Amino acid sequence: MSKESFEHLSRLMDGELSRETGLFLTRRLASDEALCATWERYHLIRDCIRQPGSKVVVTGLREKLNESLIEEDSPRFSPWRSSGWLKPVSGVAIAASVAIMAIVFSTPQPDNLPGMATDTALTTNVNQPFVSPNTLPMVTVSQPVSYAPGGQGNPERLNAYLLRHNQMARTAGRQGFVSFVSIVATRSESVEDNSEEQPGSADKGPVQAAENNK
Amino acid sequence: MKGFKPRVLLLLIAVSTSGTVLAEDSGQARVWLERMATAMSQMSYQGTFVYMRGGAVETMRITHVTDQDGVRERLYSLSGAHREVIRDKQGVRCVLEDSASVVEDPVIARSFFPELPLSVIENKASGYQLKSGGSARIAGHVARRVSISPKDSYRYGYDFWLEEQTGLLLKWVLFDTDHKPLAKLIFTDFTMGSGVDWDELESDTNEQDFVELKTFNPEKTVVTQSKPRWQPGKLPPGFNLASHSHQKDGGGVFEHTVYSDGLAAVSVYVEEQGRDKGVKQGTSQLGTNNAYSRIQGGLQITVIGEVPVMTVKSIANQIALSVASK
Repeated sequence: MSKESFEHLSRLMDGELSRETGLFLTRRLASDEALCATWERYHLIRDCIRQPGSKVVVTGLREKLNESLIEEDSPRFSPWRSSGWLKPVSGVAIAASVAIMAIVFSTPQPDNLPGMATDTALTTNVNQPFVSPNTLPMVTVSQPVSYAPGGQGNPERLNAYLLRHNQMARTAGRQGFVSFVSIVATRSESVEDNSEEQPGSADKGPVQAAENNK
Repeated sequence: MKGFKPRVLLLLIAVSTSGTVLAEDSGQARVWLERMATAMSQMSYQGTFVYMRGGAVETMRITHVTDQDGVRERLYSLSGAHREVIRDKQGVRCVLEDSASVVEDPVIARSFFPELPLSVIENKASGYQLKSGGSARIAGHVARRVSISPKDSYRYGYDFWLEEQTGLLLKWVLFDTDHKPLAKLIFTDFTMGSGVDWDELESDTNEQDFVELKTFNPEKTVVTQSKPRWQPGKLPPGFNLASHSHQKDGGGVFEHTVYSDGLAAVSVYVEEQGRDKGVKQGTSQLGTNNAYSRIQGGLQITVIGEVPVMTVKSIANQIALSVASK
């Protein structure tokens, strides 16, 4: 891939590319796997660059992406901010937290503890040299996080339900195509059900009689 | 006016003014939302966007054209497995290359039930609070922000960044009651009007590669004004019946009802358990949509919508045969 292609990709991300060139590049993105992989990598790199110096940058790409989602979260009221006398104390607390984290990270971990994940991809080994995030297999990040395979029901039926839902729910039309993005983006995922709610127990919640709505 | 301190007077003025400002703000937000609804359905636009949810980042392309033939829309993925949704006057086709399948759904007759006006989500009894304000530059366009925050845990909130001149959506954020973002959609390039390349509506996908999935036959369903046979005894606050359809001949039980609070919509499917595998019982997630399914008396009850798990579960667990149908 030429240097010019890289530059164009970068400018496309920034919305600085002319319409004609953008269209051309988008068509190429649909057919050129290498270009598409670079496009994904650029997004990850940009995301990583936002908070340099963090260990998560190297090992926790998924967490980094989650952080980027939270990044634009609306500002919260923090009671700590209003207490000027707390500033020195909070400084000490932060320093202490950093020290504790340093201890936690430098403590040797025993191998294969029962119930502990052995996936080394997300484990930081402080003795290993710094590894550029660019060398990580970026493509897997854009794959669905998890997917309920056969034996756990029919995911296509859920897709069909969702298609029909989007068609029938006229309110969904207000957001246009956004309703259909979920279908293109991911397969269905099996979600661990932690709720204790049983049939019939919902009436304990703040719900109102359906008859009142008619 | 003795004893009526100026400070108190100022406070009263401030309170009354803030109320007016809030009302104006909400009104402005509604105007922007109406503009968005019109623009998204009636204008032609095209662009590439990044969609982020959880740890996944996906790049997609949308081409939406409106002319005398109606709406034609093609949405497809640029990263990962090839997945595509095509909408036109023939209906909706969903191409899922990773499972070598296509889901087809012909155009369903419009609901007889009136569409809930946006004023529903503006009034005090609604589950949302509307706010407008803030602007940013997105994909080379100036965008205005409209925020819809949920008042309870039964629904999600939305941030819309709308193109200043047209109201077209340039950025979309879905967030929970704590304003924690659940998903984001941001355009990186965006074109509208005559600048749209119609050639991109044509799909490259080879039709014979697809297999049609038959989960139910929508052609045999009819939209009706009659009350659903299966309905929830109770609903979360603000949700009302929006549409109802069912199997029109004696080919078994199939009922589909939609409940909406004016913005979020939830579908309830009651279907006879077939020989093929149904939806997995329990909770599932499809993008930002949550689904909950359970079996009751040989029927599969599935509730799906872009609402929290609690909402789909609450509704699903309340579904019962209505008294009039017994």
